[in-house]
Amino acid sequence: MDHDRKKIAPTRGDIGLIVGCLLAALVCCGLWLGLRRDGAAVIVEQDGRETARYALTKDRTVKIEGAAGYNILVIEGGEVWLSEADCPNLLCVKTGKIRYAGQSIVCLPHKVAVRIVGGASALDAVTGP
Amino acid sequence: MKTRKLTTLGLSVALALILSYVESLLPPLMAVPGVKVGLPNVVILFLLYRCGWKEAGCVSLIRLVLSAALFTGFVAFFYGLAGAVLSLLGSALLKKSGRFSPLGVSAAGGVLHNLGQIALAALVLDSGYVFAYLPVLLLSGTVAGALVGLLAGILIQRTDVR
Repeated sequence: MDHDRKKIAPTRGDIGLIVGCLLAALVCCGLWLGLRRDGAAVIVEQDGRETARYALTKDRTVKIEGAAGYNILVIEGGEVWLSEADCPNLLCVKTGKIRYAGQSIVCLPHKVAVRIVGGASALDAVTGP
Repeated sequence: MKTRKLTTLGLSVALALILSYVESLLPPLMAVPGVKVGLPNVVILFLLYRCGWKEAGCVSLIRLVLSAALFTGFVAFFYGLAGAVLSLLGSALLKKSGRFSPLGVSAAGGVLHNLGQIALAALVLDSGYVFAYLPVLLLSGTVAGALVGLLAGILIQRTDVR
Protein backbone atom coordinates (compact mmCIF):
# COMPACT_ATOMS: atom_id res chain seq x y z
CA MET A 1 0.00 0.00 0.00
CA ASP A 2 2.74 2.46 0.91
CA HIS A 3 4.24 2.10 -2.51
CA ASP A 4 0.91 2.92 -4.14
CA ARG A 5 0.09 5.76 -1.79
CA LYS A 6 3.26 7.51 -2.76
CA LYS A 7 2.13 7.44 -6.37
CA ILE A 8 -1.27 9.00 -5.71
CA ALA A 9 -0.18 12.62 -5.21
CA PRO A 10 -0.05 14.52 -8.52
CA THR A 11 3.52 14.57 -9.82
CA ARG A 12 5.44 17.16 -11.75
CA GLY A 13 5.01 14.88 -14.75
CA ASP A 14 1.20 15.07 -14.39
CA ILE A 15 1.20 18.83 -14.41
CA GLY A 16 3.55 19.00 -17.39
CA LEU A 17 1.45 16.50 -19.29
CA ILE A 18 -1.86 18.25 -18.61
CA VAL A 19 -0.46 21.69 -19.37
CA GLY A 20 1.05 20.25 -22.56
CA CYS A 21 -2.31 18.84 -23.69
CA LEU A 22 -4.09 22.11 -22.93
CA LEU A 23 -1.43 24.07 -24.82
CA ALA A 24 -1.78 21.72 -27.79
CA ALA A 25 -5.54 22.37 -27.75
CA LEU A 26 -4.90 26.10 -27.58
CA VAL A 27 -2.41 26.00 -30.47
CA CYS A 28 -4.84 23.97 -32.62
CA CYS A 29 -7.60 26.43 -31.73
CA GLY A 30 -5.43 29.44 -32.60
CA LEU A 31 -4.39 27.87 -35.90
CA TRP A 32 -8.02 27.25 -36.74
CA LEU A 33 -9.18 30.78 -35.86
CA GLY A 34 -6.27 32.31 -37.77
CA LEU A 35 -6.50 30.20 -40.90
CA ARG A 36 -10.25 29.75 -41.38
CA ARG A 37 -11.84 31.14 -44.52
CA ASP A 38 -15.45 31.43 -45.69
CA GLY A 39 -16.44 28.37 -47.67
CA ALA A 40 -17.54 28.26 -51.30
CA ALA A 41 -19.40 24.98 -51.51
CA VAL A 42 -20.67 22.16 -49.35
CA ILE A 43 -19.91 18.52 -50.08
CA VAL A 44 -22.20 15.73 -48.96
CA GLU A 45 -20.49 12.41 -48.34
CA GLN A 46 -22.29 9.18 -47.63
CA ASP A 47 -20.26 6.19 -46.53
CA GLY A 48 -17.08 8.04 -47.53
CA ARG A 49 -18.17 8.79 -51.08
CA GLU A 50 -19.18 12.20 -52.35
CA THR A 51 -22.84 12.09 -53.35
CA ALA A 52 -23.60 15.77 -53.89
CA ARG A 53 -22.04 19.22 -53.93
CA TYR A 54 -23.86 22.53 -53.61
CA ALA A 55 -22.70 26.15 -53.86
CA LEU A 56 -23.22 28.18 -50.70
CA THR A 57 -24.40 31.18 -52.71
CA LYS A 58 -27.84 29.69 -53.37
CA ASP A 59 -30.22 28.97 -50.48
CA ARG A 60 -31.82 25.55 -50.51
CA THR A 61 -33.09 22.63 -48.46
CA VAL A 62 -32.17 19.07 -49.41
CA LYS A 63 -33.07 15.69 -47.99
CA ILE A 64 -30.06 13.38 -47.71
CA GLU A 65 -31.33 9.83 -47.78
CA GLY A 66 -29.31 6.72 -47.02
CA ALA A 67 -29.76 3.13 -45.97
CA ALA A 68 -29.76 4.04 -42.29
CA GLY A 69 -32.08 7.06 -42.45
CA TYR A 70 -32.33 10.67 -43.53
CA ASN A 71 -30.86 14.08 -42.70
CA ILE A 72 -32.29 17.40 -43.85
CA LEU A 73 -29.60 19.78 -45.11
CA VAL A 74 -30.27 23.51 -45.14
CA ILE A 75 -28.14 26.10 -46.93
CA GLU A 76 -29.02 29.72 -46.15
CA GLY A 77 -27.04 32.94 -46.28
CA GLY A 78 -23.70 31.16 -46.65
CA GLU A 79 -24.37 28.95 -43.63
CA VAL A 80 -25.05 25.23 -43.61
CA TRP A 81 -26.80 23.11 -41.04
CA LEU A 82 -28.75 19.89 -40.62
CA SER A 83 -32.20 20.84 -39.42
CA GLU A 84 -33.66 17.39 -38.95
CA ALA A 85 -32.65 13.73 -38.91
CA ASP A 86 -33.89 10.36 -37.69
CA CYS A 87 -30.58 9.28 -36.17
CA PRO A 88 -30.63 8.23 -32.51
CA ASN A 89 -28.44 10.94 -30.96
CA LEU A 90 -29.17 13.96 -33.19
CA LEU A 91 -25.62 15.22 -32.63
CA CYS A 92 -25.59 16.33 -36.27
CA VAL A 93 -28.56 18.62 -35.66
CA LYS A 94 -27.07 19.89 -32.39
CA THR A 95 -23.78 20.70 -34.13
CA GLY A 96 -25.50 23.83 -35.40
CA LYS A 97 -24.47 26.08 -38.26
CA ILE A 98 -21.15 26.01 -40.08
CA ARG A 99 -19.76 28.46 -42.65
CA TYR A 100 -15.96 28.16 -42.85
CA ALA A 101 -13.93 25.99 -45.22
CA GLY A 102 -12.89 22.82 -43.43
CA GLN A 103 -15.81 22.73 -41.02
CA SER A 104 -18.00 19.68 -41.12
CA ILE A 105 -21.08 18.16 -39.62
CA VAL A 106 -20.86 14.45 -39.09
CA CYS A 107 -23.69 12.01 -38.46
CA LEU A 108 -21.85 8.87 -37.42
CA PRO A 109 -24.95 6.61 -37.21
CA HIS A 110 -25.82 7.40 -40.84
CA LYS A 111 -22.20 7.63 -42.03
CA VAL A 112 -23.03 11.03 -43.44
CA ALA A 113 -20.52 13.86 -43.47
CA VAL A 114 -21.31 17.34 -44.70
CA ARG A 115 -18.23 19.47 -45.15
CA ILE A 116 -17.50 22.91 -46.48
CA VAL A 117 -14.75 23.48 -48.99
CA GLY A 118 -13.33 26.83 -50.01
CA GLY A 119 -11.56 28.33 -52.98
CA ALA A 120 -12.45 28.72 -56.62
CA SER A 121 -11.78 25.08 -57.52
CA ALA A 122 -14.55 23.98 -55.15
CA LEU A 123 -17.14 25.14 -57.64
CA ASP A 124 -15.76 23.36 -60.70
CA ALA A 125 -18.37 20.66 -60.47
CA VAL A 126 -21.45 21.71 -58.57
CA THR A 127 -24.03 18.96 -58.85
CA GLY A 128 -27.50 18.25 -57.57
CA PRO A 129 -30.93 19.70 -58.29
CA MET B 1 -6.90 -16.19 -5.10
CA LYS B 2 -8.14 -17.13 -8.53
CA THR B 3 -11.79 -17.06 -7.50
CA ARG B 4 -11.28 -13.72 -5.85
CA LYS B 5 -9.80 -12.26 -9.00
CA LEU B 6 -12.58 -13.71 -11.14
CA THR B 7 -15.15 -12.14 -8.80
CA THR B 8 -13.36 -8.78 -8.84
CA LEU B 9 -13.25 -8.72 -12.64
CA GLY B 10 -16.88 -9.83 -12.92
CA LEU B 11 -17.97 -7.08 -10.57
CA SER B 12 -15.83 -4.62 -12.52
CA VAL B 13 -17.59 -5.49 -15.77
CA ALA B 14 -20.97 -5.00 -14.09
CA LEU B 15 -19.91 -1.69 -12.57
CA ALA B 16 -18.39 -0.39 -15.81
CA LEU B 17 -21.55 -1.40 -17.69
CA ILE B 18 -23.78 0.40 -15.20
CA LEU B 19 -21.59 3.50 -15.52
CA SER B 20 -21.97 3.28 -19.32
CA TYR B 21 -25.73 3.23 -18.81
CA VAL B 22 -25.64 6.15 -16.40
CA GLU B 23 -23.57 8.10 -18.89
CA SER B 24 -25.91 7.26 -21.77
CA LEU B 25 -28.71 8.88 -19.73
CA LEU B 26 -26.88 12.18 -19.46
CA PRO B 27 -27.58 14.66 -22.26
CA PRO B 28 -24.61 15.18 -24.62
CA LEU B 29 -22.34 17.82 -23.10
CA MET B 30 -21.55 19.37 -26.46
CA ALA B 31 -22.63 18.94 -30.04
CA VAL B 32 -19.38 17.22 -30.92
CA PRO B 33 -19.31 13.42 -31.06
CA GLY B 34 -16.91 12.08 -28.46
CA VAL B 35 -17.22 14.78 -25.81
CA LYS B 36 -18.11 12.93 -22.63
CA VAL B 37 -16.68 12.15 -19.23
CA GLY B 38 -16.08 8.45 -19.77
CA LEU B 39 -17.26 7.26 -16.37
CA PRO B 40 -16.60 3.54 -17.10
CA ASN B 41 -12.93 4.42 -17.40
CA VAL B 42 -12.81 4.97 -13.63
CA VAL B 43 -13.20 1.20 -13.33
CA ILE B 44 -10.70 0.48 -16.12
CA LEU B 45 -8.08 2.77 -14.61
CA PHE B 46 -8.65 1.26 -11.18
CA LEU B 47 -8.04 -2.21 -12.64
CA LEU B 48 -4.94 -1.00 -14.48
CA TYR B 49 -3.46 -0.05 -11.12
CA ARG B 50 -4.86 -2.85 -8.99
CA CYS B 51 -4.53 -5.82 -11.37
CA GLY B 52 -2.73 -5.01 -14.62
CA TRP B 53 -3.18 -3.97 -18.21
CA LYS B 54 -4.41 -7.39 -19.37
CA GLU B 55 -7.23 -7.44 -16.83
CA ALA B 56 -8.09 -3.81 -17.55
CA GLY B 57 -8.11 -4.57 -21.28
CA CYS B 58 -10.39 -7.61 -20.90
CA VAL B 59 -12.92 -5.76 -18.77
CA SER B 60 -12.79 -2.79 -21.15
CA LEU B 61 -13.46 -5.03 -24.16
CA ILE B 62 -16.33 -6.93 -22.51
CA ARG B 63 -17.81 -3.65 -21.32
CA LEU B 64 -17.63 -2.26 -24.88
CA VAL B 65 -19.30 -5.31 -26.42
CA LEU B 66 -22.11 -5.32 -23.86
CA SER B 67 -22.70 -1.58 -23.92
CA ALA B 68 -22.72 -1.61 -27.74
CA ALA B 69 -25.27 -4.45 -27.73
CA LEU B 70 -27.44 -2.78 -25.07
CA PHE B 71 -27.16 0.99 -25.53
CA THR B 72 -24.94 2.47 -28.18
CA GLY B 73 -25.01 0.18 -31.22
CA PHE B 74 -22.67 -1.47 -33.66
CA VAL B 75 -20.97 1.61 -35.11
CA ALA B 76 -20.22 3.07 -31.69
CA PHE B 77 -18.48 -0.18 -30.76
CA PHE B 78 -15.69 0.36 -33.28
CA TYR B 79 -15.24 3.97 -32.27
CA GLY B 80 -15.14 2.94 -28.65
CA LEU B 81 -12.65 0.18 -29.46
CA ALA B 82 -10.32 2.50 -31.38
CA GLY B 83 -10.33 4.91 -28.45
CA ALA B 84 -10.02 2.21 -25.80
CA VAL B 85 -7.06 0.40 -27.40
CA LEU B 86 -5.01 3.55 -27.91
CA SER B 87 -5.96 4.93 -24.52
CA LEU B 88 -5.12 1.74 -22.59
CA LEU B 89 -1.83 1.32 -24.44
CA GLY B 90 -0.75 4.87 -23.67
CA SER B 91 -1.96 4.72 -20.08
CA ALA B 92 -0.17 1.44 -19.40
CA LEU B 93 3.10 2.81 -20.79
CA LEU B 94 2.84 6.06 -18.84
CA LYS B 95 2.02 4.19 -15.66
CA LYS B 96 5.03 1.94 -16.22
CA SER B 97 7.31 4.96 -16.60
CA GLY B 98 6.55 5.75 -12.95
CA ARG B 99 6.61 9.50 -13.47
CA PHE B 100 2.87 10.03 -13.42
CA SER B 101 0.04 9.61 -10.92
CA PRO B 102 -3.39 8.32 -12.03
CA LEU B 103 -4.28 11.95 -12.74
CA GLY B 104 -1.71 12.32 -15.51
CA VAL B 105 -2.07 8.75 -16.75
CA SER B 106 -5.81 9.26 -17.12
CA ALA B 107 -5.54 12.72 -18.72
CA ALA B 108 -3.25 11.25 -21.37
CA GLY B 109 -5.66 8.32 -21.70
CA GLY B 110 -8.54 10.71 -22.31
CA VAL B 111 -6.64 12.59 -25.00
CA LEU B 112 -5.49 9.36 -26.68
CA HIS B 113 -9.04 8.00 -26.55
CA ASN B 114 -10.29 11.01 -28.48
CA LEU B 115 -7.35 10.89 -30.90
CA GLY B 116 -8.11 7.21 -31.62
CA GLN B 117 -11.75 7.98 -32.32
CA ILE B 118 -11.01 10.97 -34.52
CA ALA B 119 -8.41 8.97 -36.48
CA LEU B 120 -10.97 6.21 -37.08
CA ALA B 121 -13.60 8.78 -38.09
CA ALA B 122 -11.11 10.25 -40.57
CA LEU B 123 -10.52 6.76 -41.99
CA VAL B 124 -14.17 5.65 -42.11
CA LEU B 125 -15.49 8.91 -43.52
CA ASP B 126 -12.38 9.18 -45.70
CA SER B 127 -11.96 12.84 -44.94
CA GLY B 128 -9.31 14.66 -42.98
CA TYR B 129 -11.79 17.40 -42.21
CA VAL B 130 -12.95 15.76 -39.00
CA PHE B 131 -9.67 17.05 -37.58
CA ALA B 132 -11.32 20.47 -37.30
CA TYR B 133 -12.70 18.94 -34.10
CA LEU B 134 -9.19 18.52 -32.78
CA PRO B 135 -9.03 21.55 -30.43
CA VAL B 136 -12.33 20.65 -28.74
CA LEU B 137 -11.46 16.98 -28.46
CA LEU B 138 -7.98 17.67 -27.07
CA LEU B 139 -9.45 19.96 -24.44
CA SER B 140 -12.36 17.69 -23.53
CA GLY B 141 -10.09 14.63 -23.46
CA THR B 142 -7.72 16.30 -21.02
CA VAL B 143 -10.45 17.56 -18.71
CA ALA B 144 -12.51 14.36 -18.79
CA GLY B 145 -9.40 12.22 -18.33
CA ALA B 146 -8.22 14.29 -15.38
CA LEU B 147 -11.64 13.98 -13.73
CA VAL B 148 -11.64 10.22 -14.21
CA GLY B 149 -8.07 10.11 -12.89
CA LEU B 150 -9.01 12.01 -9.73
CA LEU B 151 -11.91 9.64 -9.05
CA ALA B 152 -9.87 6.52 -9.76
CA GLY B 153 -7.00 7.90 -7.66
CA ILE B 154 -9.28 8.14 -4.64
CA LEU B 155 -10.50 4.58 -5.21
CA ILE B 156 -7.00 3.20 -5.68
CA GLN B 157 -5.86 4.88 -2.49
CA ARG B 158 -8.77 3.68 -0.35
CA THR B 159 -9.12 0.08 -1.43
CA ASP B 160 -6.88 -2.91 -1.24
CA VAL B 161 -8.19 -5.42 -3.74
CA ARG B 162 -5.89 -7.87 -5.38
